[in-house]
Amino acid sequence: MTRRHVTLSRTLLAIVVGTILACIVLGLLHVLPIPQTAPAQDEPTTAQPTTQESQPATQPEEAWQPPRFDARQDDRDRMARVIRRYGLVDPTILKAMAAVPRHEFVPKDYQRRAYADTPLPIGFGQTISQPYIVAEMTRQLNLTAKSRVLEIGTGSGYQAAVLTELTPRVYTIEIVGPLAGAAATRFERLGYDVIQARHGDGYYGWEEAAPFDAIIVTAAAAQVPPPLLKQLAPGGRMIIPIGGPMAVQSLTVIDKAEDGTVRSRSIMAVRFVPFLRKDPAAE
Amino acid sequence: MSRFRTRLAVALIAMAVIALELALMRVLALRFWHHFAAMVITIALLGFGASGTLLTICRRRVLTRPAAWLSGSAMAFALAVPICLAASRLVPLDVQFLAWHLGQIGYVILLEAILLVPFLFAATALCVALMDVPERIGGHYAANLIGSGLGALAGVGFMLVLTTPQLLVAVSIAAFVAGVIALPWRRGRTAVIAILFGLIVGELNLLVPYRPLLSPYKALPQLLAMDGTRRIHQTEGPLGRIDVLAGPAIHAGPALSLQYAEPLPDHKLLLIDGDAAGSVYDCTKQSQWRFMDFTTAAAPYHLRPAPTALIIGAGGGADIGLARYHHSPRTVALEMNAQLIRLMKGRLATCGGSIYDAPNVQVVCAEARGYLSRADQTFDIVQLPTTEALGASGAGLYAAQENYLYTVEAFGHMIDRLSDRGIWAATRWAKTPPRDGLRLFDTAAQALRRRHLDPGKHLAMIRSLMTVTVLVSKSPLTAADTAAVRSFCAERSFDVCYLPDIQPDEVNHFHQLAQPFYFNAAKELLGPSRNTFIVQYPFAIGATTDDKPYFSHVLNLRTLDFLGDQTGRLGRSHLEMGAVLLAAALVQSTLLGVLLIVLPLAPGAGAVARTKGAGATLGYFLLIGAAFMLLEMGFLQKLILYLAHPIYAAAVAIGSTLIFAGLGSQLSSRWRGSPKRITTIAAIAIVAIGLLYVTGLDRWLQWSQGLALPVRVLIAAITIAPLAVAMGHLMPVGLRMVGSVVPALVPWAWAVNGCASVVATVAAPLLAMTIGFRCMGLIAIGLYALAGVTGSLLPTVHSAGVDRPSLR
Repeated sequence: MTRRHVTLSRTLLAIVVGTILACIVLGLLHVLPIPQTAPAQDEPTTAQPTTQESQPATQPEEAWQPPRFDARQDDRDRMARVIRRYGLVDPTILKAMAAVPRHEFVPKDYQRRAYADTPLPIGFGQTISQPYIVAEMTRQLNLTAKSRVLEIGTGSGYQAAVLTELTPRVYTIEIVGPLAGAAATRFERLGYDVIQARHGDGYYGWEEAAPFDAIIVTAAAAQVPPPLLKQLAPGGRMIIPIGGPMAVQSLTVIDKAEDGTVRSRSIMAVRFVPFLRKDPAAE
Repeated sequence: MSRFRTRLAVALIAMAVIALELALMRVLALRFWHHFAAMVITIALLGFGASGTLLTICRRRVLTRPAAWLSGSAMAFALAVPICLAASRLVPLDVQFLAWHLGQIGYVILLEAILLVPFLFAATALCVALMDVPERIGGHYAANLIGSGLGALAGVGFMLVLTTPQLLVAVSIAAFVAGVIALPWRRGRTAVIAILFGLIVGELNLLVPYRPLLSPYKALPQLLAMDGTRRIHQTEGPLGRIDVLAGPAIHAGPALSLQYAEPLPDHKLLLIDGDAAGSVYDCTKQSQWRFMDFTTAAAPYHLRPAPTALIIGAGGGADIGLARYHHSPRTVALEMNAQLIRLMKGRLATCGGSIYDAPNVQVVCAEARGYLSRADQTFDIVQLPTTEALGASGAGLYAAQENYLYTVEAFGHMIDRLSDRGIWAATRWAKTPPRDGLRLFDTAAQALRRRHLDPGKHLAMIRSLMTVTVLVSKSPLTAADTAAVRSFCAERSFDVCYLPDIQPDEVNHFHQLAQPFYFNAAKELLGPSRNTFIVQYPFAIGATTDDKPYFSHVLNLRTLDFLGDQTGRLGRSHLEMGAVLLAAALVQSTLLGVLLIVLPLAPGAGAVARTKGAGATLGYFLLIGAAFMLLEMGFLQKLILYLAHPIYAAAVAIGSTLIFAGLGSQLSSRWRGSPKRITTIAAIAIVAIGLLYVTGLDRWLQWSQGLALPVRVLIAAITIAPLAVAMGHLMPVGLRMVGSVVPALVPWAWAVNGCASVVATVAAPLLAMTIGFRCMGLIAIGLYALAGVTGSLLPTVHSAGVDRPSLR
């Protein structure tokens, strides 16, 4: 083996090892954000209400105009177009999604991905849902301007902010103290004054403010809390993701009839039409 | 260095490697989920492959001071354990987003690269020993295998008495001791070096003790972040870490009917490896178990009042409570986890655990298949509750895990334990689109068909918005039975999916799906077009058997097509992470394996390229590496079923295989015949014994299934022995042949063998899911036959006197 061969092989080895190391380092430094376990920082960024001053908490709900934001409007419009591609074409919902500054609700390290078609971590093992899921859950609630809606699991507060685009009567509960505190501060800073936020156990709902026309549970559950069913008004609707934290696409809608009976329905995120033999008995 | 010292050091290192694998499995199972734990074997074997490549390239330098390299590598192994474990904590891998952010894969690779380092050093030490003079290789390799085997057997014992961080410290100390044993003592500075290393290893283990991390997405850290939640117990063992939490924020009820509006009894939450595994309800009165009557699992009790009951999986005792609520005169509950039984009868006895000692209740520490094969009692109800956490089940975290409770054979055994009026019931989480529930129904139907019973007359299926329960009656369901099911469901807003006399207009009422999928599918699965329906259904819902015991693995190529077409990026939410990670690991390990094998072929990199015999060496060591792992993993599955305990089975199968292979390795150097003849005879023996086992092992094991566990352990070890002894011949004889003629090929052969083992280890479960364990065994036997042929092409040994240094 000649010296030239040895040099060549060592160079080759160095290139291979160097490439692998470079990929890892690049991945760490540039491509990948470093996830933080801390909640979204509640520091003022570029987005401040542009058409709406911060509203006092006592502002009449009828006069409520959600705050408007200019920053990253193009990103929001693009996000709304992605949601539309999933088949959600309700203009009211798309407009709401295009209005709320999602980047204000995600941790600083994820700002770049704030409008990506993906859920994002917000700390404490909690996530801000994929935009389409937020839109679909909001749509399923059939809200009107007079609807009274309870959200269980405030998280970063994004879903509650989206709800205020449809109704000013929004109540939200978060069990993790730091998340609840950060969300309340964020609502105040961004001008979402109509949102009634509370730190507490969502399992028991918000009895003093009940009944609710709609209840949205944003945390995946293994059961439907009976107190929430009680606090749902006759004719009201609850939406709840059934499943664990890694499989939350099984959304379930629960309707309470005027006579108090409840029925549920699965919303499939997929258009599921399996092969079925034509059987007159099954028709 | 003396043979004894070398072999003692090698055995200690090999033992430490196995112990490290066991400890890392616990570390990763806690931090992520168990499919990441399976990654450890891949990382370890990759370390072996990489060490061979490294030594091929640095061979000349190593051969100048082999003893120093052996000792240095062992000590580096000792240092690397605490350092790499600490470094691995810094990798911000977020499993939750693996399907969403491709960049997370970079973190997986980074984590693997960090954890690979200790194995790389350990394998380097072992490979340096194998670069000794050819006549010593057999003994060194035997020490390696026997050390590994003892490590596997002792590992279970270690895990009973040591916590994971303590086990990691023990590994580090064992590696250090091996390094001291291998030190070239003729040099004066060695004592100083040994003391210095000892101090550093000790300091590192003291200063940076490993503290286990938990995924923030697991229930444990999430609940602990809630006000008032407190941990009232924590214990650790081979089956996992158990935590018990109490507090006002815990509402871990079962999947209750929407009609149940009363508060739940006070309860504690049981968590295994950080995930919710069940609740312990503090019910002091029998009537307090009423809430359990609002689950679909309660249905059989409304068909058979006051029944004797067998509960498969006692867990927190809720299903025992259900039996007691229905005045069961005799309830037998099986629980495999002895620690859980001790916990329920000890620490939790005053807050709900007393259900284990309730009147007419007997809790048996046993795995269900083993118990069913031995028990001769019959029961009015056999209950198979869902045991997986809902989230993990939904995400397919168990997709790559064998489950011998949900197979046609297992259901058959359970049905056999029913009294004439008996009802068997199994419950699974309902998923959209439907899959697990339908597979449960089809598996039960197949079990009935095998007993020549008409499933259409014996089956019922009901569902709530969260669970699906399938009922099987030993005798045909009567009109009174079906009326009782209808009444039970109507009172609780559950949907009837199938009854022998069901009408299309009575389905899909309370929890509505877009179509009556369950009813339609049940009709198809019981009809003549079953096979067509299963083939065309977008998920794998056909019955599972002991040969392919992957009940939770419901993905197939049609599913991927379906999810891709229908949902675009949403489809990823339905992906089973277990199967996806396995496939990703296979691609990754194959690429890395090829790289590690090809690298020494570069011009000048270790004089491997254009060496005579390189092609045969490559083929031979690839074949025996892959075949060994496939056969070992196939036997592991047979023994899991036979010994009825995954931990004992793993310890006995791996330990016995390695120890007997080690004996075979030692024996290989004693034969007088030519090495080529030995490889041929060994390959023929493996093929013959292997074929005998593939065709007759099941009957042999079934015949002795009813014997006591120690006897079965002995039978398992004896069964493995002849095959393992024959398998143990091939590697050292091959290394001896290659080492006698082209010593440069020895570390490369080690690398090739290691890489083939990696790929085979990852491919084995995927193969088993696709073609079953029997076919996988046949493939392994075929590979051994090919290895026998390839062995005759290896370089000849008639070149004694090749000048090379030894470890002396």
